[in-house]
Amino acid sequence: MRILIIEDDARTAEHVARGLNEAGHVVSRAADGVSGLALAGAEEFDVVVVDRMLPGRDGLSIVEILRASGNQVPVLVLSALADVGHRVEGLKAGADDYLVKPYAFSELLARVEALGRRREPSSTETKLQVGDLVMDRLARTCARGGKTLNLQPREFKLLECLMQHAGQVLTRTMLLEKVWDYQFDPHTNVVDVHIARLRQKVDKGFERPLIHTVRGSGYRLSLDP
Amino acid sequence: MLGAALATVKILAEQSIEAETQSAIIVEADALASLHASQGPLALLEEVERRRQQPYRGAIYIVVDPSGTVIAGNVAGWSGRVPGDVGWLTFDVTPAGDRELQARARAVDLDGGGQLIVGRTLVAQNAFRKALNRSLWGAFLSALVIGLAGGLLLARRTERRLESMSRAIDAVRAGSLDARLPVQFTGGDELDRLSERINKLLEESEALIRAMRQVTDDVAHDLRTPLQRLHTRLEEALGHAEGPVRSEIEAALDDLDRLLRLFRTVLLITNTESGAPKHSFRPVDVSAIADDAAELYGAVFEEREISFGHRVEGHQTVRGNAALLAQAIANLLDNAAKYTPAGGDVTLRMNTGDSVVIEVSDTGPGIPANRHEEVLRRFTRLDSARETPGHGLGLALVNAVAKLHGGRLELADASPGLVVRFVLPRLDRTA
Repeated sequence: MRILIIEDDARTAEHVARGLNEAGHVVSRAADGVSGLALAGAEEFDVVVVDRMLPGRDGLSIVEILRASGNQVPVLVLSALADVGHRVEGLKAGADDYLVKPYAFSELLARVEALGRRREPSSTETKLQVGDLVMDRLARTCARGGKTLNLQPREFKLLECLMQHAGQVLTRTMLLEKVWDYQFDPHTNVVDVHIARLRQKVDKGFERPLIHTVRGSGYRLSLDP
Repeated sequence: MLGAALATVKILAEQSIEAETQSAIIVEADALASLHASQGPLALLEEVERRRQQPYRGAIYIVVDPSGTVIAGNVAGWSGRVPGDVGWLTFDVTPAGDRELQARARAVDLDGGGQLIVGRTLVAQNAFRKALNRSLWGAFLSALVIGLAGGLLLARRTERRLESMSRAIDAVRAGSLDARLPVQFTGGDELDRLSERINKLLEESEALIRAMRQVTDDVAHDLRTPLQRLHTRLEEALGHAEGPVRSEIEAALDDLDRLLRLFRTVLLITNTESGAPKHSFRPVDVSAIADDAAELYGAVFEEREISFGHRVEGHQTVRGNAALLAQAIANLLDNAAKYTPAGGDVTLRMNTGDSVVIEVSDTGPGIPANRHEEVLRRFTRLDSARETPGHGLGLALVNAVAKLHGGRLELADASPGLVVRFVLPRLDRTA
């Protein structure tokens, strides 16, 4: 993917860029809002990452200008502000995701990759398929190898989320946000417990597991281990 | 007091009208006596006759000869002389065409042995006294009415001022640091002076709180970038490391993640305590939030072999921030899951009475009653009783969220275990 990072702290930007490169992405960097906007207008990007606190400017204004000019590129806003209201503010301004500093790079990478795939048709398709796992989102049914899976509504939503992002890592915080609409850090293994239950229904009795644990990051649904 | 004042007015007025009457009598008697002395008895008789002819004004004239026979005058049935040293006479007369009246008179001896008696009936004086009584009663009653009404008005006004003072204090306690007590006039009455003093105090504490927040914000902001770099570097190093170094870096990253989580929670508590999330308050279905939390944690309790019961009534709405309320309720269940041993019980109940009460009880080790206050503050962890990892910030955050919403957090002993009540004001009772 082609990723634009608008971040004034050179060292952070460098580390993030290197990490994204290693994950196979092409990264452009801008250190301030003006050059960031110029780059975003001149080239096609799959994801734009904007720091909210740029010198002399709120990063959200960049999102607003992009959206006002009809640019629908997915935007991840990084913020050093902890106010719960700021996340809502960011999403309202047109950002697609919001990450509070300091964050783990694995969290940033997972979110950037999840955003980059958003424009692919799978997010609006009514039928999702990964190997022999098939989900009908309209009929709200799911089957693996022709055998119907009996899922509770929340289990269905969790699996739907994993299937929509098949092949990508979803962190525990991302799953809490997307499936349960929670923004918090639990001290218990609450997400793991739900994944374990889902595995009982999706992977149990099948030779090839689909739900994989990614150490230090989260979970991924894919055919390859 | 008012009565006594009016009674004094009455007595003084009556005394003064009496003195007026007496001096008028003395003046007239002297004038007639000197007429007699200068122009003789005939002139006196003529003058008395002339005055008698004038319209009746309550004047009394009697002239008697040395033998006591009346030779002129306007009082029927009078006879005899008055002993010279008797001073003021008081008697009843019945003037023509009038009822019996009291009269006051004075006798003057004339040259040649006759006597002149000049007086006044008290008809005018009585009328004055009646008028005086009437107006004094009127004054008394109207003063009473005005006084009572004024008193009530004043009391009501004072009550209203005290009410607006308590409202202002409540507003400050609820987080509006810039709220001040109303002052009508600078240097006004006692209430104004008290309000001014309290306002000074509020100003000082506002400045202190703002300074403290500024420091927290600055520290947070200054720490974020270096912490961010540290995290990124460790993650990078992990990619190139092998063997024992790798596990050391992994352990360091785990520690750093814990630190970052602690850091985020502290910032969230600070932000919540500042009252800033109030700007995003809207009606929130707290029953749905409680149900969601129960659903999220039901699986955790099951996995840990803790029996979990939950009962949430109807759809109760409160005014607040949905994300913070969800986090607070989830935190209570998270704590219960963390501290309750396998085989224990956890219950989530939501009741609505005067307020919305979300109660979580567990059969864990509980918290000694004397430390309940303490755990609601930041950075308290009861190591002796609760040895599972954690930073004890959970309850402090829930407490901050409850206070932000105008509610409170109550802890009680479930013997064994802990009962936590998250109390929120109902939407229909919120101002």
